[in-house]
Amino acid sequence: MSRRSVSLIEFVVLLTGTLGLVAFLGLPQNTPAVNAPSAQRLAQSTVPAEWDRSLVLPRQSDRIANYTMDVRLDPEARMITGWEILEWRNTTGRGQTEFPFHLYHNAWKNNRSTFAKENGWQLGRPNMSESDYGYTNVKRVVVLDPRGETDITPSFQYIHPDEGNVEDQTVFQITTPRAVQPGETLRLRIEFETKQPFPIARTGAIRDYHFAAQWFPKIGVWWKDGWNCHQFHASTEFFANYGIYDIKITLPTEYIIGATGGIPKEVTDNANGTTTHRFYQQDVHDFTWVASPSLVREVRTFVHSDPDEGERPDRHHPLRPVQVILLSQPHHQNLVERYFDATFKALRYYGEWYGEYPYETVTVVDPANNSRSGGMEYPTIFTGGGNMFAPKEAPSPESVTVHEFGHQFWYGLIGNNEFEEAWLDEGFNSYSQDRVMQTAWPPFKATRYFLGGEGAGTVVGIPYVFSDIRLSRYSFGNLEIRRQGKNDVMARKGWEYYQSYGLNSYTKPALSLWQLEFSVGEEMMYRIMRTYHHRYRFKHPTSQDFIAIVNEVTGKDMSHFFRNTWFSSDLFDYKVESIVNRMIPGPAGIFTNNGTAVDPPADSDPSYECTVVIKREGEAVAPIDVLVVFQNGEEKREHWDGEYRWTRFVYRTSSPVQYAVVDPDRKIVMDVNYTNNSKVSRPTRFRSLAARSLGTRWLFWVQNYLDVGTFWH
Amino acid sequence: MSIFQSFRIGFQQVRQAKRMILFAWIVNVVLALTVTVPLLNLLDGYIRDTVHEEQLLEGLDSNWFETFRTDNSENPLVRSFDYSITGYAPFLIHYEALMGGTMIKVIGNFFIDMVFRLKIRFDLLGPLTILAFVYLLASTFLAGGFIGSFAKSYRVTFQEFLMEGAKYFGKFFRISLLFLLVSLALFEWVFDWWTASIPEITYNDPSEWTPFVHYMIRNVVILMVLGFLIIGFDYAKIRTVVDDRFSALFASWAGFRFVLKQFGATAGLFLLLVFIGLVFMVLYALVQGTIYASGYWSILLLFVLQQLYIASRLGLRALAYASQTQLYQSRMQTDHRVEVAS
Ligand SMILES: [Zn+2]
Repeated sequence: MSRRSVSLIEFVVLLTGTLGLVAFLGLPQNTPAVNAPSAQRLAQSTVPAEWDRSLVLPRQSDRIANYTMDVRLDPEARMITGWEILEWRNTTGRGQTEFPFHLYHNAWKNNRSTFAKENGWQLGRPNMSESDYGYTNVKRVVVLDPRGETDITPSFQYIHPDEGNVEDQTVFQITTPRAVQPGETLRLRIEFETKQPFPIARTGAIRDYHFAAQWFPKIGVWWKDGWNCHQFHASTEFFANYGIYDIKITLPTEYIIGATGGIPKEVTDNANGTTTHRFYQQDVHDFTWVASPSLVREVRTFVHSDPDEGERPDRHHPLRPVQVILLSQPHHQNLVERYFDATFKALRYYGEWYGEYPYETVTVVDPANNSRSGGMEYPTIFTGGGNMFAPKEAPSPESVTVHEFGHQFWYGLIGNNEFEEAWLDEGFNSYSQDRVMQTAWPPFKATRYFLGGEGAGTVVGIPYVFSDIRLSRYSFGNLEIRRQGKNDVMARKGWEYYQSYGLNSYTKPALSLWQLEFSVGEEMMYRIMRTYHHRYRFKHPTSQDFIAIVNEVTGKDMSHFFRNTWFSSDLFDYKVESIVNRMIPGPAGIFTNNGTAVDPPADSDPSYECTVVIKREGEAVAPIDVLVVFQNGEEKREHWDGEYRWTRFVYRTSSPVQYAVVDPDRKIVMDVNYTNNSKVSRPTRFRSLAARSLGTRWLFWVQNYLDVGTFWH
Repeated sequence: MSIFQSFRIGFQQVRQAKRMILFAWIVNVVLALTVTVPLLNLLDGYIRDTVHEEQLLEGLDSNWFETFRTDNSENPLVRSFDYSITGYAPFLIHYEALMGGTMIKVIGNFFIDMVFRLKIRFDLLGPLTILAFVYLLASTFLAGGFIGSFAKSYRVTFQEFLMEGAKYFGKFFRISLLFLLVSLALFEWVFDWWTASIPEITYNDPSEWTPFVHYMIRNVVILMVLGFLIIGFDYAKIRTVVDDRFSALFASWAGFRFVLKQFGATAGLFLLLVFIGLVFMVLYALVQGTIYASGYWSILLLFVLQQLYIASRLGLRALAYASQTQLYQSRMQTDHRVEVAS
């Protein structure tokens, strides 16, 4: 190689590099300042409201289905055996002889259950041995009557109210010889045994950790003039009447137990290595318990604090003290404070906003790894979930704790039918959870575990906090809607969605409530939610009940809103199509009045005709705001009913339009694409600095990739 | 000659080879620009006419990020364009990929398909992998230049540097292929099996501490094994040059033999270099955290810092070649003397 050709190569390489860099970073330029639109301040009132004082919280439920039980856990066999006495009050207005019951554990009995079928003919665990399956056997059913006991076990039969899968055994029915008359109470003694599965669907036993949920024969609900007792589906949850639960559980003495009801009313040492714990809880619709010798138990008392500075006194409703029982894993002691903090905050904000938490206790369970019991709600007890490596910037265990506590309100105290209208608890609760998270903590950050992987039922590694990324207020909900929103109308039964149960039970309803809040205003939304909760505590409301409350409280017919959200699969997408600033030219041509010369018009002043075109790309319709900002700083806020496919705003001004933003306050939170919501009129030679900021990082990423990835040269 | 003497002399050699390091940096940056400029243009078109231009400079919004990725999900570059571009996450994600043998496996399987199945499957290679392969070729060339120059007792010109690169390119490339095969075998038969077994072994463990320890032990072992391979193949290249060897296989054999015979010195020198690399990384991680890239000058500052880091890494690579060549040359002389004496 000659000296000259080397110099040439070197020159070319250096020149390419330099030109490349200049092309990449560009030169500094004066960018016209575009001030991002800021959210409007919400109106605030400090006067205690008349409507609020008129709301009354129901003190107790209708107590239709009441259970007394005495059961024993055999940890080795993973078997719960015993009996229950059900007292069921007939409020149906007619005589009843046939009574359907749930046997949820039979969903995990084999791969022929409806649960398994809907899950692809399997239970979500590979290579299951026989002892991994679960079931409940009803051994004896006896009607207890002052006139005598009648064994009605022979009338036991499995029924399939939802679909024709005769192999499903999650619902059974018994028949009484004599009709239970309106106002009468049916007393049944049911002997049963429940084999706990290897953890499936938030139930089961692993190692010495026993999580008993949906574990006893449970009567259906007489609802809308018929029995409502759905089979257990792969994606659905539950529905039950309220009542009193008085439950005795016997287990090895060294076991720590947590249950609905919290603090046991009686603890009896049986002097044979077992202890009997008696739990009692009124006005709940389920009973769940957890037991393990390795749980760490700590009890603290929530006491409602004085209003914070700047807090609205009219919303600081006094709340009762609550005993918070935390049952944590021994290796999760670094999460204890976070669990308590989150539960206390949730107790406070849910209580202040919707109505006081009425029970004496709430039990927080930090689930065992791989128990699949995390993130689930039951009356006065719920499971959280956390990773011992979770950095404090990560939202877990806080968000899951707030969410699952929140279900005490949306599921527990408002007992909607989760089979048929899951959004009434999951959606309402996700919305409420968002509100608490935004009120009680500074924004959390996205985190990831590097250089590790799966293990112990979770993901471990070196935690990294993406501190440069601002997590959006509503996360990626609108993108989820974009991906799956067209699959289904939101308001459908839980097992009838096409791959969109999660979207239509959590994300879409939660975002729709935010959108409703932005549509009616925060104050009005507070009033709607508070009224709804007060009106329907300890009841089983439906979507129509909520919509009626919205109409009643706002004094408007809001059915248009729900037609476009809950009862629709349409998507919202508004965009700024174009901005055209046309300079009006000086007069040219012939100016006459029917042949008689007239003075031409004076040079126009204002001298621009500016046209902003807004388009509706989605099928869903909502009234929408448009912010138009001119180069001289002048702002115009326009309003459009959003109905037709497009609209335009035309201005004659001396200053051209600099930018326009459709929905500047982001009220249409379900808009599936925000990036098209604005247009800025910039010089053609303008180059995005933000792009270069991202591009610089990407360049370094690639350079580092080349450096590290080719270590083997 | 001690580790530190080799290091010192190597350092002096590298100081005199600033031009070559600049050249290596230009190669790195130019290649990286080939995938950066298209993405930059895409971003520019996506952002420039919206108010996100101003908003993004105040902070990266996750919803914007995801919407951009969704809108451009067909673009193979955009698939890699995620949160890991921020902060010092590039280090973590790339060392994670290194520990998983990601690129080794992609390129290795491409060659295996080509040689044994007579199929050229470009669909296996994304633009980033192809780029990495080109970079590998360039680095192989540069390694020849560096070692060839540092093995000489005088200061070489840039022209000689390039000629040395050309001279050893073929031999070094064969060594790289050998390295590729060895690491591919290790990943496919040992490391992958190990990684896959951790979730199974720790599946029933009550505490996440157990899998964490497993993964960290795996990481350390993989790094040690790869480190050993890197030193061995480095000395293979050095012996190719110094001993004027032809066969990549024998050179590698000789390289590893030297490493094992002089394990204290070779490993010590390598650890010293690794330590310096770590210092660079920590310094970068700390300093970048203080730069809030929200305006032209702060972006430029971040850019300069990033390029300084990359240039330092390349300088460190050159330093590794120089000091290891020094160590080898000095030890061989001692060895000869010992042999003569006996
Ligand atoms: Zn939930």
